[in-house]
Amino acid sequence: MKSLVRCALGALLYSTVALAASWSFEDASISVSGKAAGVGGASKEKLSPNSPLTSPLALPAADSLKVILTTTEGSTGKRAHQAFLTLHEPTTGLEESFPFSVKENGKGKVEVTQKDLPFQFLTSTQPLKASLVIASFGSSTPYNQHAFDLSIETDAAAAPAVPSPPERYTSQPEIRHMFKADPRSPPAVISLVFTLAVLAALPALLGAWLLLGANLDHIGKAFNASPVAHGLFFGSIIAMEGVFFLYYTVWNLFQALPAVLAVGVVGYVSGSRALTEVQDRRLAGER
Amino acid sequence: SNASASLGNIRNAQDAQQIAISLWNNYVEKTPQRTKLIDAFMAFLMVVGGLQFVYCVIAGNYPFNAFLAGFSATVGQFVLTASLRIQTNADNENDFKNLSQERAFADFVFGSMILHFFCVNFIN
Repeated sequence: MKSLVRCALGALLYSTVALAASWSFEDASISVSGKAAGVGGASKEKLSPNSPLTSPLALPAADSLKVILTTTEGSTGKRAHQAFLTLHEPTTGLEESFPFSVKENGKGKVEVTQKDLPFQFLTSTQPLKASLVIASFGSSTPYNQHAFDLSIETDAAAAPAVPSPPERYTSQPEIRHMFKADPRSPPAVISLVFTLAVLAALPALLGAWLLLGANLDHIGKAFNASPVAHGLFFGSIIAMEGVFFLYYTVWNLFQALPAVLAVGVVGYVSGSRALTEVQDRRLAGER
Repeated sequence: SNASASLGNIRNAQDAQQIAISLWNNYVEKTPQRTKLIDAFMAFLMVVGGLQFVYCVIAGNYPFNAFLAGFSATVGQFVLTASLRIQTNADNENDFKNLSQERAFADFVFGSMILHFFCVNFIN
């Protein structure tokens, strides 16, 4: 029994290795077309996996080279993880790869124009060797074979291709920054005018109160009734404003807070007494 | 029809003027004296706040926190005075049965002190 299983396993492994799939492609075609050419003007060739094209293709300046194929694993069309058209320059050995955009069923295409090529390709004297590279995960053998030759036809009238200047890291030119001017206070005259206007509003208010009949004449009566309470209450209000003034000018918060508390307590106690006296006068109908 | 339209406009203007005048007369006669004292204070606060705002528009808002402190002092004081007016107005007696006028005034003083403290703090 054991030997039978071992035989079966061995046969399975052998068959897997023997039947190992390999990546390839089918239905491949290559065309060089210009924008103005239209459908019929493109030159089209068929590609086959095992034999490269014999004569080189020419890529004029404004045209684009298009390769269409279907990647296959074994005999089924399948999407390969890597599918590239690699151009190889024989004299310098420079290579550049252009990826295919491949769909799930394996159909892929790539389009190359002269703009996509590095400038060393454009100035090459020999045709570039183009090969197709198809590979993926798994154990299938990948495909990498020479497919065709590509000769670049430069436009004689156009400017010669020049490489971009190399990136050099040196010190940059000095930046001279003009900082915004600090904000300044307005002229003192304007501030003075407005301060005087605000201060002038105060006697206007007192005058309006007198006109309306504010009962200043009750001051005597109030102080006779409860002098301490009224004096302390009014005094504590003035003192509180004085504490605020000192806090603004000299003191810090921790010096001001105990004073606020003290004056507040005095004001609260005296205020309740004073306002009780006011209430007595109001209830007696004198206000 | 042109004449009647213009007469209508004049009548509307006169009506508006008469409404304003009668409104003012109603206010002067019907408002209690103590409420008028509070109204005078509120007018004073509006004048002072307006002066500060005009100054800010003319002379720029540097330093901005000083303007905010002063302006919000007048606005906050106006709000406190308005609540004092509501609580002490004789017409609102029914809503404030438990609140004596002196207690309302004491609350007003207390709130004003807190407002002044925060504004002095904010002037910096």
